[in-house]
Amino acid sequence: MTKSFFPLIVVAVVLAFVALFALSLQLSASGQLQQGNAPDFTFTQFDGKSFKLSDLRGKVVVLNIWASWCDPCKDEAAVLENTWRAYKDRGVVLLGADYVDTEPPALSFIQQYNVTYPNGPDLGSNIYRSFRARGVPETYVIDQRGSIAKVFIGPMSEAQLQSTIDALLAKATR
Amino acid sequence: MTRTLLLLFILLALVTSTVFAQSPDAQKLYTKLYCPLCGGVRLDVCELKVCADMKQVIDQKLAAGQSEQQIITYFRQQYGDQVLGYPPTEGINLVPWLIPFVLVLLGAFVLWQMALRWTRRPITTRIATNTTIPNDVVARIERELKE
Repeated sequence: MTKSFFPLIVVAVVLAFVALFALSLQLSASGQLQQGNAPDFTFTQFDGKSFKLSDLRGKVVVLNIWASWCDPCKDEAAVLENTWRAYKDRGVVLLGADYVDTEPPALSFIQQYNVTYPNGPDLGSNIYRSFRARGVPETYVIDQRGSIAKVFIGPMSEAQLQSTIDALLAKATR
Repeated sequence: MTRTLLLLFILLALVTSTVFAQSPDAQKLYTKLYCPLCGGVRLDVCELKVCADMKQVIDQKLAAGQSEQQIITYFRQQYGDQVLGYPPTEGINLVPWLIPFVLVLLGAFVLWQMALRWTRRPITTRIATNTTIPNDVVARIERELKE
C-alpha cells in the first residue's frame, strides 16, 4: 500500500513546490494594484498616532508613497500639500507613507516642504508590498467605499489629482 | 623642517582618525545588513543615500548603547526582511530552509526502500519461482550444486 502511494506522494510534493514558486513569480511580475478593494493597513505616523485605512471608510483617501531620497517626490510635495489644504475639510484624507527611509532625513523633508498632512514610515514596507508598488512616488486614490479609484505612477499635477478627487466627491453627493 | 614634520603629523592623525572613526561593531553591522532597495548589496559596499543614512542611524544607535540584535530588529521592522539578505527562519520563510532537508530525507527513504527490495528476496526463491526455466534445467542445477 505504502509502496504504491510513495511515488504519488513524491510527485505531489514536487508539484506543490513548483506551483508555489510559479505563484510567487506571477505575483512579483504583476504590476501595481489598479482597481478593486484597497488592502487594509495600519498607518503609524511619525508622532506615534496609529489608525487603519478601514477606519477612514466614507472619506476619499489619497495615499502617497514617497521617500526623502526621491527627487520627483520633492516636486510633488507642493501638489500634495496644496491639495490637502484645499480638501481636508471636505471629506478627504491625505496619507504620506515614507518608504525605505530613515527618520531624520524624512522629518527634515517634511519640514523643508511644509508638509502638514499625516505622514509616517511604511513599517516593514508593508504598504508598498500590499499595493504591489514598483517605486516612488506612487499615489493611490481610494474612494469612500475603500476601492482603488485611480493610481498615479510618478508625480502628478495638481489638476490631475484634484479632478480625480472632485469626481469622487461629486459621485458621493449624487 | 620642524614645521613640515608637524604638518605631516597632523595630516597623518587626521587620516587615521577618519579611517578608524567607525567602531568595529559598526563595521560588523554594515556587513550584516543589506540595502533594502538594491537586493543583495551589503550596506558596507552600497553607495545609495539610503544606505549612508542607515549607517548613520547604526552609529547613533550603537553610541546610544543599543545591541547589535536590537539594531537589526529595528531595521527589520522599518524596511522588512530584505535587510537581512536571507529569509528569516520563521513562518512561510521556513519553506526554503526546509526544502534541502526534505529532499535529503526523501532521497534517503527511496534508497532505504530500494535496499529493502534487493535484500528481501533470496536468489533461490527467484530461481524457483521463475517459470521460464525448464524443470530439467533446474533439476540439473540443483544436482550440480549438491555435487
